[in-house]
Amino acid sequence: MSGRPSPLAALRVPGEEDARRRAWAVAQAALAQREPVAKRRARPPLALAAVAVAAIVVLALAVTAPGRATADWVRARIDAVAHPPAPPRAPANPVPSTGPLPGGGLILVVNDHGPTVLGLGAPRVLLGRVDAATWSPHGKYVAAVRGIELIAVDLAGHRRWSLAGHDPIRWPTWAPSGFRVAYVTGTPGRGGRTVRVVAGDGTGDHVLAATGPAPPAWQPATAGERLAYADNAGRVALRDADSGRLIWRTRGGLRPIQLAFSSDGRRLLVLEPDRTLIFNGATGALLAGGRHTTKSTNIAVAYKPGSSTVYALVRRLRGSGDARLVIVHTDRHGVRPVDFSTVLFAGGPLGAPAWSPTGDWLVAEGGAAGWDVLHVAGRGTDRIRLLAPGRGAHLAGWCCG
Amino acid sequence: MDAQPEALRWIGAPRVRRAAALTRRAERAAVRGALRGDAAALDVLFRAHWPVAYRAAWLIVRDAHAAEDLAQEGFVAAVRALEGFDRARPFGPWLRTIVARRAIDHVRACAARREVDGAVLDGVVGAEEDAPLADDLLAAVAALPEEQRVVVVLRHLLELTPTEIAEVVGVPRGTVNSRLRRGLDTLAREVPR
Repeated sequence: MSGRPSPLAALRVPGEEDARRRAWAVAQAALAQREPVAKRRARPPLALAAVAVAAIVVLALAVTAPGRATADWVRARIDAVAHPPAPPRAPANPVPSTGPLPGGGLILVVNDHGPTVLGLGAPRVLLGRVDAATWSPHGKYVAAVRGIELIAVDLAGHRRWSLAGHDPIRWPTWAPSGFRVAYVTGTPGRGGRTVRVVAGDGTGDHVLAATGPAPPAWQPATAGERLAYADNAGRVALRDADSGRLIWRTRGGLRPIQLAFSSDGRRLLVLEPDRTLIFNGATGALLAGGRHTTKSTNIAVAYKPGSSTVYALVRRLRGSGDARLVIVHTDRHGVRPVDFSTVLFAGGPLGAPAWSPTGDWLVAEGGAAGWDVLHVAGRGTDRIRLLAPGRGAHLAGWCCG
Repeated sequence: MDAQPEALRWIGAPRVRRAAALTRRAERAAVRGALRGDAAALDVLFRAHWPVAYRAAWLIVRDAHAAEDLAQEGFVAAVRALEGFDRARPFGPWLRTIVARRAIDHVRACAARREVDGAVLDGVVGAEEDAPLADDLLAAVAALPEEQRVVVVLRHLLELTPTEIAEVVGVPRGTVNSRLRRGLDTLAREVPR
């Protein structure tokens, strides 16, 4: 052959990018399973640098909002944050230690190591690297997605079951009963996305409906297994997950990015980028359509456990990278907002929020330096703790007191 | 015969270079790092060699899911066999040979099961910077008869020698060369200049 590269080397073939991402995750896992032939030398300069960086981060948090107001309460765990990020091949190496969580229960994050449980005394990595994960309702299992594979794993890291489809899987969601898991698969340009349901033991996988670009949501506190989802026409529908029977469907034209049920199942909040809408969970009737906002973009929402009148909302301010975490109180019917309390300003992006099982602490996915865990008292906060979720982490849920 | 493609010459050098061409020295360092369990070193090898392995597998089997499995399994097999890898040799051809063997085995297994290819060209997409050219070439290569397509891909994408191709495919070297010639002639006719 000549030294000139072949024209064939420049071709891109279908599915390459998705395949590359999945293959890299598998290759990393394969590397992690090998016994290294030589141990790495310790690198004290890097460790010192990490400690220094962590100290700066902690100092910055102490003197800037929200740390300024509650600096005395900031207990940045220097040793936790300062740990150098563990290489993916060595889950036994330190993921930042968190100890008991301030709100009790267990937090599930998906970081560069895989689905990681915080709150057990030391972080516990259940699998290798995955794309997404979700708690089972009682926190005994985690459903994780790796490319086209859906995997159920227990807290000891043992696989209980798995299934593989033909397309990448997104948004696994375990039903409150524990008996069903919903997930979305497919791509818009190739047959479309569908929401599928599988039993909690991995059997009975079936298509429920075509769906749009928002995660489905299970209706809690209801007889049977009912799943809400948004379709491509901008309608939100509620179906029986087993029979497929349509229970209700809204009119079209919505632009949902997230669906969230109150814990009693009576209210469904449909989050759009610039407004929130409240629907009757039993009938699908629109109860309140929030005003369009122009100054901020909605990112994510979470109802407070045991409440249909309080929810946490993450908004990103337009024109800047700043974000804020707002607690919204509605009237006693859970319909009209009556109070907005900003409990956290962030000089960077915030992601999904999650409430502690008792509803008195709130965490919002933040930057790599650490996530704020807020003690919610009334309409404000009175304590802040710093959580070290690990590199590349995304919040997947807070479970089970 | 070195079937350096006269038929491909006029297509010109690709405007998109390979994502990460490695020097031998850098590749050896990456292999050493991967042997130590260094994920960054593995990433270097992955970026340099997995894309070509995937593209070759796709062109041979013409099925994205199967190609993903083949390239992924081939790379993982290479990672697991790193201890036994002769570090005096380049990593790329070793990996490519693994993937090529697996892809050809897959094609034979499909043929034995009488599987029928679907409309695989529906999803053909071009390279980012020279899409029309890449589309035509990709479509033309994918449309070649299997025996020609396999040797063209092994020779001009995986860069195996005709002798290596003969060994992998299990035919005499002369047969490899004649299939190459016919395949390249077809490409010269089918791809617009």
